[in-house]
Amino acid sequence: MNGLPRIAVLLKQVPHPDYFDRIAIDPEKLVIRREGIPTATNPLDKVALEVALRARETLPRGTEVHAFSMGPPAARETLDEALAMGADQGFLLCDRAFAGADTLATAKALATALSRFGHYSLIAAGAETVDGGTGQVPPQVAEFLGVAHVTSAISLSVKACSGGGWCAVVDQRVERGRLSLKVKLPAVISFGRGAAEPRIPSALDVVRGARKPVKVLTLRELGLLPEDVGLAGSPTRVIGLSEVGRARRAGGEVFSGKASEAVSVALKRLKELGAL
Amino acid sequence: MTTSQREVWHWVEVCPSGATKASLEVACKAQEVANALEGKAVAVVIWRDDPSRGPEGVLEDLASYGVNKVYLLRYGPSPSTRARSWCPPPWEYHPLVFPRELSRAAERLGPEVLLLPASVNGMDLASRVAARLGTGLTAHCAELEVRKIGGVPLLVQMVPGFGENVMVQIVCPEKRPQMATVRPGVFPLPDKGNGSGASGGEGCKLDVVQIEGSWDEGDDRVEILEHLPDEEKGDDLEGAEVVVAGGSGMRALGGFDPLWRLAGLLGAAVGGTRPAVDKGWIGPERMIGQSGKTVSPKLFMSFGASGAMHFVTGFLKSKFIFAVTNDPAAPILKICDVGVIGDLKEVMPVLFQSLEGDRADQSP
Repeated sequence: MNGLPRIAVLLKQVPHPDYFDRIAIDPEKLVIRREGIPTATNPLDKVALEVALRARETLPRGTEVHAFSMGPPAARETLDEALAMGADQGFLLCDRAFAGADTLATAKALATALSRFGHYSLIAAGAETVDGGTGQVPPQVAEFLGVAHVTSAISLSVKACSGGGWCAVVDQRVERGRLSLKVKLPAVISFGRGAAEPRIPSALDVVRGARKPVKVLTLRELGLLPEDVGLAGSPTRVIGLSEVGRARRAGGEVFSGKASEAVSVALKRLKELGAL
Repeated sequence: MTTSQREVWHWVEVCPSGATKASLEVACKAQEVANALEGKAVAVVIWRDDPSRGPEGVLEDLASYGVNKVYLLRYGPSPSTRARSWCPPPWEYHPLVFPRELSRAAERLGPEVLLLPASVNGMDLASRVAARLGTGLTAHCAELEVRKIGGVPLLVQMVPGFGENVMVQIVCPEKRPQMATVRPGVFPLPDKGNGSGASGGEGCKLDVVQIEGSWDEGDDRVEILEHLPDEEKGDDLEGAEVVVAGGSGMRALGGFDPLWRLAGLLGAAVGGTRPAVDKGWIGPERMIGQSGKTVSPKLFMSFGASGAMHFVTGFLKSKFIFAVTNDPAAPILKICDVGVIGDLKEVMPVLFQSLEGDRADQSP
């Protein structure tokens, strides 16, 4: 007899991808200046949540989906969104000590929270975030938890295994096509584009979501030491910035003004340069 | 000279035709890094024992690109793969076996640097190995250099910053190995037989060191069932003479239809920014930039993209760059050769008119 599977989803609040060109990096402190930049829930994390919510519908009644996020207090908005979409409970890892974490320190904190708050059968996450874009956190969480993982999955079905427990069958997108894999849970699975279309919560969903519990987890509650997490627990360091200029080719120019004139001189210039 | 030479490892991903192009690019970069560190580049090939297929072809590929030392990590076949009708090829990536075996070898032999191609499997493998070894990892590096910092030569790993045409420099000062995944298409691949091998003409003999790995019981947790047919890959992008790309500004024209029309006129391939992919205007296989494709066409034409570094890094090496944006402060205007500041709704029709006019002139 199988126990109820438990599902966790990892979500990150990120700077809104439409505003990346306006994000500056402080050349002295080497940190991102986020002031005035709207935030969003990382799009692929919502895809992962959608996959998890749909999987829940195929699983026995009582199967829960828990949303985990790590970030500043404002990252609560991301959990609120997840709860409105249908997650049952939220966990926010929030402590000044977590700040400045690279993927290793992030994965360590998340893995600790996941193992403290439940034996999750399936941990779903986006295959990458729009800001860091590393995709490293999900497999690193799996390594810290000692469980299997699959990255860049584009489909999921969860079934009872023949030998007991739960299995996931996933398709994975790689450079040379797709692979179908069977994974004995527990496992961490990261989802890529096209795995599901995230639902848009209704006003009623938002109201319902607001009534669901969110637990804030600090360093102490995770039983971690300051040197394990945040900048202190990160083996990598940002040491500087370098300009990547690209000199404009002689004869190149930016034109403005009336569209018809600007376009015609621009095209003429491209032809003179031999570009067109 | 120290007794043991610093080693720069690079993992070689294998496909049916041999070592992947991305892996060969990494092999050449590893050679440069090794030279700068006064160390030795060593390729790592992970291979499941299979009496019918050995790694000889891959080793020949590597030798012809200047590789002269290989660690060949072999592991036994799983009982279950032997029993099934479809058996994954011996080079097939396994998300439990590969990270464990590579980590074990690294723990034992202590490489200074470990580089991998930033492919799906390369990123997957690198992540888990870095966590297991407790070391740092930088993803999708666009540039790597060795620099002395505080008297210690370190691998400086560069990834795009956000706006402002900057790259962020990252190091891993204490933990070893220093790990990075390298974005495919960024480092040029020399012609075959023309490898950047430090040893020149005489070092042609390939030194293959076998390392015994194992298939452990728990490895059956992940089973590769089958290969599914290829989807659209956006392959036309990489070799295209002209690339037409759009960003979220294409919203003004209701999506990418005008760009496909333009591409048809110019015989160009179509690509886009991540927001364009996330909005569903183009498939993920057409994403250009940090975690997408890197292109270097003769002419790159950008429409409605402001030019965040994450995007720009995917086409910076194009011969000519043309950009249209309505934002006079857009960073893309600093890197383009020819630009137009204007509303796409006005610019696009004029562009079609002139280009279609050109075409009519040329036809007999």
